[in-house]
Amino acid sequence: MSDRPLSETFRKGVITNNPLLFQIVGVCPVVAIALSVRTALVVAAINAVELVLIETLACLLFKKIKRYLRVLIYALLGFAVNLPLFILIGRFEPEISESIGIFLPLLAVNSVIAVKCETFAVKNTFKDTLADSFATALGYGLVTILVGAVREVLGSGTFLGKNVGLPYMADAFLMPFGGFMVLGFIAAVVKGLSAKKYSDEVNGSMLDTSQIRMLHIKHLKQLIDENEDDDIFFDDSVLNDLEPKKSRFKKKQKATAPEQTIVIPAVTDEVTEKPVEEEKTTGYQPFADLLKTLESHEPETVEATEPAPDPLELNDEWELPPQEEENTAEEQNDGGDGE
Amino acid sequence: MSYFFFDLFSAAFYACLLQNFIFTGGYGASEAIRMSAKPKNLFPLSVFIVYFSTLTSVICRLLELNPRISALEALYHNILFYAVLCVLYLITLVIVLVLKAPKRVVRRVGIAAFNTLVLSVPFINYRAGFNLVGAIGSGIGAGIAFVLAVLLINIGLQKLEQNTSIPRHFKGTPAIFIYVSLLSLGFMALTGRSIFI
Repeated sequence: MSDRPLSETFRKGVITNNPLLFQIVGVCPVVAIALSVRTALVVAAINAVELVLIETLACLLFKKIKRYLRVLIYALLGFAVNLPLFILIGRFEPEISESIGIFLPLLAVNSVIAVKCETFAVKNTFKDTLADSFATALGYGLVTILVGAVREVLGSGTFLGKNVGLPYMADAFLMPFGGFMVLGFIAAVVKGLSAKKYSDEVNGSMLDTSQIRMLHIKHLKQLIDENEDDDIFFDDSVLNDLEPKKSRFKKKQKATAPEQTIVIPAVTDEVTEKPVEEEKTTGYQPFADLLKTLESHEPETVEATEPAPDPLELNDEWELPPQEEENTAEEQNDGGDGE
Repeated sequence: MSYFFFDLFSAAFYACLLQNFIFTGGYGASEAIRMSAKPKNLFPLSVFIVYFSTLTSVICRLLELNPRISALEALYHNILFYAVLCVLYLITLVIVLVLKAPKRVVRRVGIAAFNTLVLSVPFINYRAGFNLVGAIGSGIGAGIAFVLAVLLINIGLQKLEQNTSIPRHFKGTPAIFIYVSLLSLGFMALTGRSIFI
């Protein structure tokens, strides 16, 4: 592949493809540790060292190794880089080491490393990879330091350890809540500022949500709807809880009307056909009530039958970018969740 | 026997709700958010996360029963936890490859094994001083916490996608972060901490 201009690589790494703000990788250390500028600097520095070293090695040495082994190698290399840093920080900055706690060793498995190595380093030239690793480290570091600064001011009322004289301090900003919130606002600001020139790049780098509805629980719902006639939801215990008297009545009806299962689909048609109402009053009120209750919650399932959203409407914010040869947004998403 | 279940349940409850590892600790937040956007294979990944978090947690706790190991400095504990996780990953990988599992499954093993959520469990057990049963509960709870987080975020993402009143620049990842922050705030309430000093 052809080498990219440095300006483009840095623009993507720092702004439009920022790993933290738009790709949502490496979030844990930022929301958990970046509580002040000092700790944020430590996180940014460690991440930069790990990222540049591992991404470069991945480009030079690991291209022919199987992916499932590469993942292990990234973790081991991360640990190998992290360990001496852990010792050094513990020896020279015990306060920071104490405040960071268990998160320092966890930086070795920071997802940004695996994602960048898998989506970029093993598919590109050494020069491009080196530039990308520096750009990503810079983008990640700048956002981390900014998050640390905002949280330190709002949460502790200090900046670089000096009191800024805030009348109130929001303790919550020192917790993950604050980290997520600040990241959200920074992402919005960066998106807003880059909207005019690089709107497509920003929108393309964002998390792909096209499969957002394909959750197993939805499939389960469909399964329930399909098997509605099988009474899997209308057992005696359910009815006893809801309508104890009527459930007893139902049992009597069961004895006198063995073909009761055919009533359930009939009741679902009660809106259009009058004869069904007669059936409904013949002693199967619990079923009707339950079905009414279920139908009143139907908007959730009705969504599936709604017309598909206008692509032009979604185009503004959610469209995938034009496919690049070596580093598509889809691949970036894949790197994190293995899709 | 009742103590066993009490310890197990309380540790799992702690990891899942009282101190939900994702929302109140931030562990595995990237994976949870990204998985919630592509939840099709949530349950296979969750099974692997529960598997790795529970086994790593239990093996590390068993090793720490040895007085020589428990007397080691924090640094050596780090090495121990990493080593256990790497060995466990290799063994699992061999099993998965021998069983000729699909490529997608093999890829998921790596993602499930090497993330901050799984690796944090033995560290938390060590710091919290959980016993063996507590370690099992904590490992299982971490997996359940992950599933819970993904489901909650997924529901929110669906609503965000439909919401047309979100300002243009907040659409996408900014809105996702803010939604997750509110979830985090909700879970934080369970810890009983005050928001303002």
